[in-house]
Amino acid sequence: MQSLALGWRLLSRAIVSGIHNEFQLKPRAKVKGPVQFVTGCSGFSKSVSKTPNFKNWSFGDDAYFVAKNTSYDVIGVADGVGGWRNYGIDPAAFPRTLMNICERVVVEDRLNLSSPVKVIEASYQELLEQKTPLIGSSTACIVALNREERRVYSANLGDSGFLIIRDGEVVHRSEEQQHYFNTPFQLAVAPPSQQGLVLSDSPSMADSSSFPVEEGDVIMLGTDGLFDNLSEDMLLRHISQLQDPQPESVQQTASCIAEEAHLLSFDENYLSPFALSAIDMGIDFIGGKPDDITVVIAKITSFSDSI
Amino acid sequence: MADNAIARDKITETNKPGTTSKAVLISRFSKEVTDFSSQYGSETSISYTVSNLAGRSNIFPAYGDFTQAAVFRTYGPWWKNVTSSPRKFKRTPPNFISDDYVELSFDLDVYPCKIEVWETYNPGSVVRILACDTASGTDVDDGRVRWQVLWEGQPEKCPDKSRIFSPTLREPLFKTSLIRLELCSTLCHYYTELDCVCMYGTLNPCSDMQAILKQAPTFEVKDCSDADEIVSQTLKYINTLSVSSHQESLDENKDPGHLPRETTDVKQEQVTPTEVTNDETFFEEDPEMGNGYFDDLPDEVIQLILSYLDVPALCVASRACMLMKKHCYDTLQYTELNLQPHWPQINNHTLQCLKSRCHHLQQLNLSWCGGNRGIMQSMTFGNFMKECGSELNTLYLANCKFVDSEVLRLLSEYCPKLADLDLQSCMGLDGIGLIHLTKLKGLKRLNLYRTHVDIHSLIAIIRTSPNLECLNLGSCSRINNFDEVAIELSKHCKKLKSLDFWRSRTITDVGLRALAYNCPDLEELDLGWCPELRSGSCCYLDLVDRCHKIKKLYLTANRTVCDDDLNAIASNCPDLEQLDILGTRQVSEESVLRILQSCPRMIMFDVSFCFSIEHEVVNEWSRIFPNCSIKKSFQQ
Repeated sequence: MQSLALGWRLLSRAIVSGIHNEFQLKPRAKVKGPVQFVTGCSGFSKSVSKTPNFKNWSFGDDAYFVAKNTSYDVIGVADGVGGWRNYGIDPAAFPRTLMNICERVVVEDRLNLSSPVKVIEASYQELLEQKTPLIGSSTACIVALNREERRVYSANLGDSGFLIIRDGEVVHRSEEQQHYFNTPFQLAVAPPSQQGLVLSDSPSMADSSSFPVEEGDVIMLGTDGLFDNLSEDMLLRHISQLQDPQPESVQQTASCIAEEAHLLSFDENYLSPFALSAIDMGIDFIGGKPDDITVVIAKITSFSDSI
Repeated sequence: MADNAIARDKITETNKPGTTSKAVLISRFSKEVTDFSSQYGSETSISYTVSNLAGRSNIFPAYGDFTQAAVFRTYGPWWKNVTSSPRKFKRTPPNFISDDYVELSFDLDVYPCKIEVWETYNPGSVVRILACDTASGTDVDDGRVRWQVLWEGQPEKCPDKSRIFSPTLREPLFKTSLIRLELCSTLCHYYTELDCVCMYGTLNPCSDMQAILKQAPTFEVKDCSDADEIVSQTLKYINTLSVSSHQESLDENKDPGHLPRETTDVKQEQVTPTEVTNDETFFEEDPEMGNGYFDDLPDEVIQLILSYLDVPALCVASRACMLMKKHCYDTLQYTELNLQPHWPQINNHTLQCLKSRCHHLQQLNLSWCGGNRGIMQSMTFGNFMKECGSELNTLYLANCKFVDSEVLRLLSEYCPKLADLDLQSCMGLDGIGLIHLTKLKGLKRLNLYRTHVDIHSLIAIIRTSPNLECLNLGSCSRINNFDEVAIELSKHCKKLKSLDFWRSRTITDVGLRALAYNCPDLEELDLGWCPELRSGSCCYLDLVDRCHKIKKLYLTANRTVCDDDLNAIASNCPDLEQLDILGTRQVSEESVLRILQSCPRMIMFDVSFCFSIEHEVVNEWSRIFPNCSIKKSFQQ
């Protein structure tokens, strides 16, 4: 009798726990919310004396932009090719106009930014639609964050580039595009006399990539003036000091990085990354590389944490 | 400043008459450009295109020639007295001067009390502001969509600075979210450019507009001249003309309802031909009573007097008496018919009513008519053409939404004498429709600006039109090989005088040379924004070497134009009147001066964005050559 009661108790307990398990809610998979960029920009012109006459978004012959539309946060840089100065052309005009047009294209929101190459293509075409006869060339690198998807899409033409840094290490980087040493891929509009004689790469030559991002990731976008003077280790050290996603802190980090790069670029005894690759090519060179420096830091934070 | 805030909480409504409702002013920038007549930029671009008019301000208060502005295709008088100029129609009311229009939608229906047009280059071209009643819906049979003219005026010559243009509007009859601006840039020194449009309004009809307007920031308020007042007075006067002293007793017996009621409505809406052309409402007349002195006038004199009336006035006058009806319905009064100024009133019904009077119709302007809401149907148009198209030689259908393949087929069938056809911006057309034009053997002038014509149809039309004198292929973006088009023209259309190749991306020196060698009568040639034409190929030298009659040559934004080209033009084109070399770095001041010296007939010379030509020198030349308007545009 007792065993029967025990058996019954066990059975009923099993049934009840079984029913209980059926109705127990499975823990829901946590849906990750949208993210956004918090950006800081800094840089130095190579020639200290020149004061830029453009209101914003340029350092020397470098230019950059920061923009957003309904789905994307976008940053971009363009490095103007200085050789045009010899032809009496201001090398800064082309990259500045290009970046301004990119900003317009992003804000007008007519293109699908999951393919930022299209932004470069569209901006290059719009550049040709200007009444002003623009001449010059530059690299172009654009990184677009889809806030809902938590994914960055990038397009890079030339030797500007970006790193994605997570937990103190580089998890993704752009590919440099060069024809030969110190001659990057570049978008160009040549003067009529030089048609066909000037290096001019099509926007479709740009390298594309996409990468998923997390809160806390840092994207560092810069021109070659930055990466030629600071090694990745030095950059990681700066980023590790960026603790919070406040705009002031991000801006501070960007300024520190730009300043160190600027100082080292004039150091004649410093074994810069540029010197190292020169030596690799068999060129006997030591010291920093004086160049225009532009750095754009974008820290990924949750969208709701907007300040 | 205007921003897109609704103060929802603050709206209080009172329905009691006589109380002042505390309505709140809502302001909005436009959301989208839904329609426009023409634009400077290319069809897929965001530079100098009319779509830039939507949204917030991007330029103001800066003043200058910026890519973010909305710019139309033409300005000033430079397209008005040339070979390609359209025919000037008789009976055009003097207050209709619009060259271009743009329609803007907003995201909210309001009773508009203030509309601001932010002008950032060469202001003063807005001449009409209209509001559309979309809420009342459309009656497909009647096709009635209401437009109200909120303001109309004359173009102004303004100082060189940005301004916010906000004229005093009439009281709105209905809520609206669709505004139309009409512009006339004849007085502008250079292209007029607009930044954005802002509308202020209330959700409920407001009795005290002045109090409401005090909430809105005022910049410049312009008084409108009430041109309609003059028209209505004239019409009233005309109505009295047909009634003499003998008729007075007759009138006293009449039902006052038979008098044209439209005169009171004229201020708000123009008279519709339909309302006065319904045959059934004609009153009985006593045949023994005469028409006073009108019986003594010869018919020809009456016809001459009536030829000064515009179409609505003609229709109103027809209701006066049987004599007037006879004369006003005479088909000889309707050989030339301009319905463009009355576009809001033109629909299926109008055409049907006019049919019986238009059997001798030779020139018809239906540009801008028909809207895009099914107001005009190809069947009605077809019936009209069947009855009235046999003598038609000129037909303008610019921006007519109802024009499709069927319409062109009907034209080719019923209008064999058609010589001048304007189909610009008829987006409903493609190659399948346009191929019907091959049946029109007498085509002399054809305007296909901004249409989707394909190369096969175009070549077919060219092959069957040996008499072609004027051809406009501007912004025909579906054509992928303009050299082929040029070669066909050179083979078949030797009488070509005017050719518009604006933005023909693919034309090269091969095509241009073919034209130069075979079309010696060329007077007007627009090669603006054709990047594949290279001066180095000597195509420009060949052109002016062969075509000495050139009066108007546009080489806008061709970066290769150089001194050699200008010197050749100076030597070979003595009749040159207009030259545009915008945007080339390769020309020097000497060669520009040589043209001014060698071409005494020059009236327009555009050297904007030519880096070597300084503003000071241009000012100097303007003094020395006062007959030539030298253009040097700038960005501030």
